[in-house]
Amino acid sequence: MLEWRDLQGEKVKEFQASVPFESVEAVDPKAEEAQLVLRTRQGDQNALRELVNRHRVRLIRTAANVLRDPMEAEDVAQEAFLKAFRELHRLRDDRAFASFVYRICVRLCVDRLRVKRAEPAELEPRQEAQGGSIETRMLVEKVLNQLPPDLRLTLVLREMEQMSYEEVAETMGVPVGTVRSRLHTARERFRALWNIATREEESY
Amino acid sequence: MRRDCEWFRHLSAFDQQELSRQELTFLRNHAADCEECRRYSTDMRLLADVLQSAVIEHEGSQSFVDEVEEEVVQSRVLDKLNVWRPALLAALTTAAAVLTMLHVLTSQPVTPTLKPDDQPTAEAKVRIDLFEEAEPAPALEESDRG
Ligand SMILES: [Zn+2]
Repeated sequence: MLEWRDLQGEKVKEFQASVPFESVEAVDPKAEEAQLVLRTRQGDQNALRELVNRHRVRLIRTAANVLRDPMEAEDVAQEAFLKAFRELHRLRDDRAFASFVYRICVRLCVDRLRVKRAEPAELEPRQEAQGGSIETRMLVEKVLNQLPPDLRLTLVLREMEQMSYEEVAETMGVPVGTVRSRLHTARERFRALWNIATREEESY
Repeated sequence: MRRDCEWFRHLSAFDQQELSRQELTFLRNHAADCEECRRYSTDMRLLADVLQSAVIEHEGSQSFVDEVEEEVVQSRVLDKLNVWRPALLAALTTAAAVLTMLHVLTSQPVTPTLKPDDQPTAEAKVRIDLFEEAEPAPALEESDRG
């Protein structure tokens, strides 16, 4: 690894020449983001790709945890990007694209949850095996499925996505006090439903 | 439920750093005294752990960016974003043309003024010569001799 104290004379020049111009210029990520949005507005497809690439992981991950289905999460994230680009005229501050597209994605997830609640629940777990036992994951999914969409979303954003109350409030477009009371209710209900679900599991 | 227990559960919904020292002391003391609230706290921690263990780490497929780009191209989203560009170009061209015309009009006077010592131009001279070569107007003759 090249240390700063090793950089003297010619080495400094060599090092500076090896650093891409953009990485020297890009001091403010939000300003860089605004530049990408501006270029996208002007029809630059490379800028659009860069925006998608920057935010896709966060959108897909959150959607996967809210919906408990990685494949559906990709669909929703794709839909969110399309909607964001289509409604780019609504974005007042180009530096806020990240939260703009994230909010759209979360709203689309809630819409899907509302539709799902009207449909009979699937019993098979759809997520890939990851951390935690498969039984725990199935139980979590079963309990989350029984929560109303707003409570489920609050719980996922706070406990799985580790967001602050303020971030959850901004994402859901509600006051922080509402987040706190929803979270309180969501935890209480989750706890009650979890106890029932684990007792049922034990009795099998 | 006792009022203290309700208050305990209400405060449990806050982050520790959001609470005052008195509130934190109350939480600690109440948990020491009340078995039900102690169980509640344990359940809440368990709940957080359970949810954390069920996190899905899915980053999406490699082709995700290409797929979004393809959808954007197919639905012509960028073209719609871009409609203002030709309009702006036309407006700028018109503005530039108007400014150029204004500049030309203000830098060259419409009616040239002649100073007393100005000499006639070559073209003007020809005109004067032509005028001078023209047949003079017939003078009045004293032909009426009687
Ligand atoms: Zn208590």
